[in-house]
Amino acid sequence: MFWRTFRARLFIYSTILIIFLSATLFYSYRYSHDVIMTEADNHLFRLQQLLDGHLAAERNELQRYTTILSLDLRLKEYMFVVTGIGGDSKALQTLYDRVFGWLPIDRKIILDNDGHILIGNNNTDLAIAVRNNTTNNNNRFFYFQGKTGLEIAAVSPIKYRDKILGKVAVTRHIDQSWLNTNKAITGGEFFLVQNKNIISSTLNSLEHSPFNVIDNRITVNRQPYHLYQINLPGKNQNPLQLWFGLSEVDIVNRLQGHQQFILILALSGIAAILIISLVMIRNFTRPLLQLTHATSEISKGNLPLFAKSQVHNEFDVLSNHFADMIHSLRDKQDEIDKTHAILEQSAITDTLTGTYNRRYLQEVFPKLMAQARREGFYVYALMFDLDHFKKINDTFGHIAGDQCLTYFSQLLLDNSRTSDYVFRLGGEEFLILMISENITTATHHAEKIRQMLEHKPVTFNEQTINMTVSGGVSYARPENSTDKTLNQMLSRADVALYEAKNEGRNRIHQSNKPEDTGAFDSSKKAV
Amino acid sequence: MISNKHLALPDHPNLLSQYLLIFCLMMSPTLLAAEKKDDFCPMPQHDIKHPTGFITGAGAHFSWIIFNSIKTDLERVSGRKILLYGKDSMLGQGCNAGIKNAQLNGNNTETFGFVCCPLSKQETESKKIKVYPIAIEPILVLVNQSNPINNLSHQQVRGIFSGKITNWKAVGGNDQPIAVVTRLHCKKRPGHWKTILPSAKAFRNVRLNVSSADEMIQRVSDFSGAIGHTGSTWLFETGNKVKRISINGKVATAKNLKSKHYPYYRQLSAITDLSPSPDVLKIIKEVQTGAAFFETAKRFELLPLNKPGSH
Repeated sequence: MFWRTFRARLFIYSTILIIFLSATLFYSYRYSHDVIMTEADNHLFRLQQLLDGHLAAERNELQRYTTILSLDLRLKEYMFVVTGIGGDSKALQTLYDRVFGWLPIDRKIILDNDGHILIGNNNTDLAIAVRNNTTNNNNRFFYFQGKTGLEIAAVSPIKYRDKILGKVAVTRHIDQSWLNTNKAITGGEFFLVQNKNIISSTLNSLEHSPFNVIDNRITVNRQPYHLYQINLPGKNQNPLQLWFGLSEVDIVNRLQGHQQFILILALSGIAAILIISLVMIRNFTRPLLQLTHATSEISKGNLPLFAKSQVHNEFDVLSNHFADMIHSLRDKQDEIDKTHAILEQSAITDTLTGTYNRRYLQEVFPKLMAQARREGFYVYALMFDLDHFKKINDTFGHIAGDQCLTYFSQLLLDNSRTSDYVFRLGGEEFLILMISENITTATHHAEKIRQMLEHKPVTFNEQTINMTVSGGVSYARPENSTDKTLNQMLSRADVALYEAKNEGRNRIHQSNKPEDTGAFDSSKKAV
Repeated sequence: MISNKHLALPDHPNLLSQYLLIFCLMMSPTLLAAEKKDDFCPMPQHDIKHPTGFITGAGAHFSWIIFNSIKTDLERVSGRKILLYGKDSMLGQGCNAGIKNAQLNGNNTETFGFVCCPLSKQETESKKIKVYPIAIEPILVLVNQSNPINNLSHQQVRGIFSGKITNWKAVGGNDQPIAVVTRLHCKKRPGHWKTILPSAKAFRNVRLNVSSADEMIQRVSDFSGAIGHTGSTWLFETGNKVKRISINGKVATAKNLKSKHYPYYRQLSAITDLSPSPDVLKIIKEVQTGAAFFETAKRFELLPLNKPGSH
């Protein structure tokens, strides 16, 4: 089962990992929009807080200036002289210019308790705003629309000897410069609005453009903005509104940038996991497959080539051990094969003469018959028996007899074709099985053997031993082959041999049995 | 008044003392509280240095003018180097500082002081100091330059400062409220502003009381209807919009003082402890009788209390 393999498990684990990572990254990619929109709201909220803090700091700064003025004893004295003695209020202006001229404010006014302007005669609008926005003698601030635009004002009472002498107020313009400064601080846009029309803005060329807010959003120059209205406390018949806006384009750009980053991250992650998985599968499964293949071949009886590799990991050690094992098995197999060959050879070979024995005859005959059948020939049996061999043994001894047997068998082997089979049937009896197209060839071959033996005596211990041989020739038809064919053919050869013996030995006789006559050339029946 | 000039003084390196000083100056217009104590602003003593080998003099601005103008002659006569403190009397070097500096005379220091008020016998005995009268200084009555008034009678001056006269129209001027500016310093000592009215309570309650001559000049300059007073040795600046008026048709001169036609004055004196060094005494003697002093006295219309070479 593939799914139970180690490779399959690695594949499954990697797939699960890829799916998990992909799902995570996809989730992040999918919901990054919501995250960024939420973050944008948080960003806007933080900017609101930053802006509120900045406005509060500005209010506190103005309030601090009015406090400095209202607590200055020289100013109090001058106020006292002006209001209590009727002194010239120009002295107050002189004192202010000399001592407080450095204050970073846009306008200032000092009023007595009746609302008369002691300093800042040109700032009647501010005097009216102070009267409208201060109901008691506490410090306070307010926004109002002055003659030059929106302003923030801080007011403090001036007390001297436990009496209120008047009020001092200072202002700072909420003008284009103010808007640009706060834009630089917050990074957002500012819109100063009156009657739903933009009076001034940090965006160019928007003056007198309509300002229609829908769900705290507005589209300006085809760009949507998240809006936040800045609270401007103060009584004013024609109140100006100050809005702070954050461009959605910036948010969307951030969103797209984030999503692209997530996408690249996802693709990179998947690619990385794929590569790692492939490398892991390759590194882990290749040696396993090699081992599996090798063991499979071994189980089939083969010993595959299994090269050793450089050792890097545990698999390499295992593979090298396995290669050593196969190498040892191959050596053992070679030894077994050699031994088997020797044993096999011994089983079919006559130990004295080196010819095949009778046992092999039974084995090789069917093969010869099959070959003859394919080639359209006959199988011939050339049976030899050394004449008077007992006499040789008795005369020269058994060793000489063995020498004679060896000599004759070598003669047979040397003069036979490679396709012929030479057997020692027992004692001094030998047999040649050969495939031939006719009887003449077989008989001539037998005769040739006989003549060679007759003319080449054996030398043993400097003694010459003359030998002769008698032979009988028979054949078998492949097309009519049965289990008895061999015995019948040998029997007929033996009969022919017996006839040659009876006729005086040292001759070759063809079988004259009816089974053999059809195959004999009659002109060469006897040599 | 706080000015950058004062904050940048090299003689005041200690920030703590500067802050103390600034605080005092900020609070200085709270005259009612200040009037109750002579030493409302404790003088930062460490500001007056007493290096070895120097004779140190400190005190009221108006006396300092004299000492400083003849400093070269004083050093020549005494053969000693002299350090003088008192130019910026508003910074604490007033009469009280002069008394304290005189008391510091001892083994390691040689000091003397100078004051703008005649000290009572009781005070000199209790503080173990000795007074060396130098000159009588006329007290100028000042009005704003825009004020058409150039002369007032003694009674008119008293009427204005006491609050009986509150409009310049009553004395022939414009129909304009009068803003009285006073500097009622050294209230326990005789003379000086007491030649106008005998006590602080006699002055108009609705007034401006300042703690330094500089503020006095500033207030009179700022208010067109103001009237104030200061010593004749005050060094007026170009921007000051004040003018001195004659009293009973008599301007503030040494001659009119001597003839008692000019009624407002004070005594400028040097002071030492009970055992001043010979060099200190030489300096004081030169101030009282030296030729250079008499030149200075002419310049500021001072009436010397000693004859040239009388000591």
